[in-house]
Amino acid sequence: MRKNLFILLVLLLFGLSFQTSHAQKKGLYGDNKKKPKSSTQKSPFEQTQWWLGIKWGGNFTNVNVGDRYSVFTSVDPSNTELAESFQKEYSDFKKAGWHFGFIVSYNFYKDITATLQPAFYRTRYEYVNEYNWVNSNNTDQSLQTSYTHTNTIDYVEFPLTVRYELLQNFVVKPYVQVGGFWGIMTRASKQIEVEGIDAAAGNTQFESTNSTVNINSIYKRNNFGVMFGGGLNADVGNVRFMLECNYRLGLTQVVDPNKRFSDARLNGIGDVLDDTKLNSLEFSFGLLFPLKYLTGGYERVDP
Amino acid sequence: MKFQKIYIKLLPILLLLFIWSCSDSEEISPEESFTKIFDNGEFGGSFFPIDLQQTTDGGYLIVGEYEIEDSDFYGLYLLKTDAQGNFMWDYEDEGSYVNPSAAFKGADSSVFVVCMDKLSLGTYVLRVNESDSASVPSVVQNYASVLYPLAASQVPDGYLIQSYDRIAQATELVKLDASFNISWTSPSYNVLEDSEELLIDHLTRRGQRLPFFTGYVGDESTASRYFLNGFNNFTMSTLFVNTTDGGDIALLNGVRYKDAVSALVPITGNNFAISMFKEGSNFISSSAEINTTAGVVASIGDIAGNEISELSENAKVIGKRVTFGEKEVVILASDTKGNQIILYGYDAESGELLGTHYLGFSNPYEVANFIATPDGGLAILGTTFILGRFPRISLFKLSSLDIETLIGA
Repeated sequence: MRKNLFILLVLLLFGLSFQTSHAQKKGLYGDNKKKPKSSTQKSPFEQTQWWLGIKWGGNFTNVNVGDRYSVFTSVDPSNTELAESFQKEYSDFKKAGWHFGFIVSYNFYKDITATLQPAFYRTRYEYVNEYNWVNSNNTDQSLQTSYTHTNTIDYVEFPLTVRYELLQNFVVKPYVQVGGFWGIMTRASKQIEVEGIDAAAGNTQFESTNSTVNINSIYKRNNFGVMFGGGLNADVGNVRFMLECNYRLGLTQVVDPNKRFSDARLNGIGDVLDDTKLNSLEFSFGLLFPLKYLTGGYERVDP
Repeated sequence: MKFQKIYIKLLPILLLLFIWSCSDSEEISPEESFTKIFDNGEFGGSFFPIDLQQTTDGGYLIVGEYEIEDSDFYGLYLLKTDAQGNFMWDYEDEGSYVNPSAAFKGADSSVFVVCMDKLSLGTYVLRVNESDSASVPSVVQNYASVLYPLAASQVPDGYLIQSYDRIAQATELVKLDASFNISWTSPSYNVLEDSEELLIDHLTRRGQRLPFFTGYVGDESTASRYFLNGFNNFTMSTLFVNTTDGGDIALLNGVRYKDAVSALVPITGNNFAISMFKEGSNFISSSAEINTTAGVVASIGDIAGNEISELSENAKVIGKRVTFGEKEVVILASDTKGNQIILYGYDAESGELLGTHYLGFSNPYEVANFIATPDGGLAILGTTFILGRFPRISLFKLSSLDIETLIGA
């Protein structure tokens, strides 16, 4: 945990330091021809801009699995297939999550922005356990079951990024950004779908979907990570439209080892969570509005 | 300057975040908490756990029984795990060892197992080397005249085995010294009827499993009385006997084989924690006075107890006195009507119920036994019926944090 947060801190401080020095250089050698005023000619009020907006979007999660755990344990070492069947099979980027929140941006300089995007963030991922019981003397007698687990974790997140805008003279300005996020877990749940075939009972197929099970206690409350990505800003009047894509790299092992085996309902059906870090690919759309204006005609400050 | 100001304003927030993130509680190791179900992928077969001991490597030796083809009794099954409950080796006896009833930890890296001969019904004490996966357990003692070993326990200076003499139709208590030599055999506790069919049903799991057990009243160094729960005088009764020859009996009678004591945990003197089943219902008294003086005859009907309606009919109960830190606790483990295992934690001194803990879900679970572990936790052995049909051995390890929740420490 300390290591993870150190990385986050370093990134943030590096970002701030970089843009501070960058702003100072720009102030000295900026191109006066393209601007009505040079940076040094601008008043302190004109040198910065605040933006406030909303964002929403979707995300897809890929689980970075560390140590694996299984309730079912094979007592037949020669049967590697059996032992492997007790491990989970994860589906990467399969289940869609979503997020919605606010954007607070601060232009330190014309092309550099610090952005805080507090949001409700729902992430979902899926894994499957398949079990087979076969009569070795009569293979017609078998029972196949498949447990599909869909885990949903809700966070209130605080991503903080430093963004660098390219192609300043274009209407649509691409940007790249890097930063970190801190998430506070608010709720975690699991849905389990069970299906199978009982060959010993005339190939009877069975299927059931368990109701949602609350598994708050199994996940850690905090989740830290870093993120990087890019997007496009388009200014239409004073409104800024934002479309971005980020990859988020979870640095926290989100399962609480103290509580891993604490839920009798899950252990009872042979389920236990592995050590996992959550990586996500997210797509967001946003609308931002400037907060600093120069005149009563709502001409915004353009640092 | 402006950036520096912002920088300075942000720094405390970031530092607070850092400090807060470091305040996560200490993480327990994988050895401290786990749940395991041991399975062979076979459609069919039956494996039932009986007892367990923690081995010198921190792992567990599970003594159980499994369905065999050439006998109605269940054959001896041994399973060794590492400290995290991972499978290391197992042993399915294909010889004459059946009906294991208890496991004892030896002074070295051995575990001793009490079991029965498939044909002669005599008793064996076997030595199992915890690190040796390939060899057959070696015979320490073979008591050909001690038939039907139904229960066994460790006492300060040796061991007790409860047996049933099918010819005399009597229960017997056999006292062994620390080297498993017979010190004495008690007088016959006459059943006065042929109850062998009940025993067969019990051992073959075709009928009701009966609460046979033995134990002692006293402290770790001295026993003042031995007790056994078994057949006596047409009933399932608890007998308190002296430690010199099994005489001087005090009786706590059940009612035939339907009402009986299911677990008994000595606290101090004549004070016991006791569980009973009466007409199918279950009762627990965490602090009951039972007169164990020779000649006293009492009935479990005289003992009040709280009816525990969540327990299954004639529930099996395992009771032990355990010390967690400085807290003396009585743990009773049993089976619920909801097919879960339940643990009750009682304060040994006051008898107050401190908490409960449930294990298992969906697939039926039944308790077999439990032990306290040196890390302040519990290892609970159970049977689970996978998808409601295949009996398999399950092992739950509760951490000291779980125990704190259970007993409110």
